[in-house]
Amino acid sequence: MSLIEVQTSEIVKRQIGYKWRAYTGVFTSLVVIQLLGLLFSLNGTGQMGSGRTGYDVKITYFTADIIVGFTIFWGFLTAFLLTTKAYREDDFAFVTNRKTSTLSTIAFLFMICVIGALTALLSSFALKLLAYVILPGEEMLLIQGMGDVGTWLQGIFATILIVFMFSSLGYLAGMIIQLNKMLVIVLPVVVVGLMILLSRGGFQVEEYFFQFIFEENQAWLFTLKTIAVTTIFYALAVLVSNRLEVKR
Amino acid sequence: MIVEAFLPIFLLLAVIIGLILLINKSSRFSFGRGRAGLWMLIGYSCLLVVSAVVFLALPIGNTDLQGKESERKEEQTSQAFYDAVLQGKINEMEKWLIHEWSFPFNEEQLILQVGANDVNSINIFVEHTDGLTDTIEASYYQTPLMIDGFEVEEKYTPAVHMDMTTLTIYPGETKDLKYKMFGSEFPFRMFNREEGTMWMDSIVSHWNGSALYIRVPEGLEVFADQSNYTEVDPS
Repeated sequence: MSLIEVQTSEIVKRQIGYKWRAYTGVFTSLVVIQLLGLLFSLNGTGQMGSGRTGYDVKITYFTADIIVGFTIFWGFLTAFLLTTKAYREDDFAFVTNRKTSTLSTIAFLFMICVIGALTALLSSFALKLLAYVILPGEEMLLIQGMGDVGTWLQGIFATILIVFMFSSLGYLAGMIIQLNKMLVIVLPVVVVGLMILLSRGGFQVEEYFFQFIFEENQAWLFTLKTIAVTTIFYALAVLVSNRLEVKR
Repeated sequence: MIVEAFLPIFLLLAVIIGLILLINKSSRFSFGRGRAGLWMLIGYSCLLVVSAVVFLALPIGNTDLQGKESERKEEQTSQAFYDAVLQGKINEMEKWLIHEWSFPFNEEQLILQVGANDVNSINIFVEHTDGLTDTIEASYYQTPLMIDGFEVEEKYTPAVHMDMTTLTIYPGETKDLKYKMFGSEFPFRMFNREEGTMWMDSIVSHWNGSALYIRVPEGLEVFADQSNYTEVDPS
């Protein structure tokens, strides 16, 4: 029995440091997926054709929406894979318990989600610069107003929250699958099957979910909703992970 | 054809597999592990910051989407234009004049032949006037085409030909205009949904008025499909 009292916050801090140094593969995957998104975006995020008397107007729209979308998916997948046994057992190199391990993983996920969101938004400039310099043929350039500092900060904050929310979903899905490997097949089948069944009954869950989150135009309500959803998902993941401990 | 249809799915699968290989700790694929991953992120971030600085330093002025406000002005212009055309107020229409044609003509009948135009028809107006003898005048007027509040400088003109007693009007060469538009990402647009902030909203103005105004001598008989033109009587 040790007489040294170890503080939970201290352990969590150390574990975050360890994860930061050890899980650098997530950064490689982030760079790769954002570069891929950049490549796909060069074709334009959207196009609009319009005909007027004597004119055929074609406008190609460039935004980093695809890159942000890819980053959201990266957040989901990274969180999902961090629940695998190989990652979870790393924590036992330290003095740890399930609580500190989960807390440090969530904190680490938040840190990488912030990085992912910021780089995704910054890549928007790289995309526009490439489109401006490389892509030929267009006579005129139109730039949609970037908005003021407040809009910028809101946008950055919203991107971080969205990526983090999807990481919580990935973390929950990963934890559920850790209960039994068969769930890798069963879980998607059950989720998709339920969604199809409910949509036949006139209740489209995915549509309601996306409306609930993405059609919210009040920043404070959006923040509240995403934080609530993220907390619920992480709380459920913790509950599932506790069950995992009993099984082990 | 089949490969093309499945290409997005293959690409997505490749991305997912690649990501799993990169992140999954138990995979033997070791690209970008250790400090290499961190350096890759640092290098990438530096590149992004540099591109942001360069882009913001480029001499491209930011323009807010003019949207509905501009659309309202153009609607008013278009209404004023058609009022002037229908009342035959040529003086008021001068500012929108694009091209003029004049044909010597001393026959008693004029056949007006309008070429097929599948999408946007040319609005043709015919005025009988005492001011002309042995001449037919055609003028093409158009209010500026506005894109995102900017006036398009390239001007379109229909093709107008006179052959014996037939005045033929064809749509002419369509102007192909291509533009790039740099917008903000969806998280920025979420809390800013007032009119005109969504890029699809009225970037290309719906209100550009156009008219081919033909003046013929008084008493000249015009033969044409009634649906192809509008008779104007300034008096």
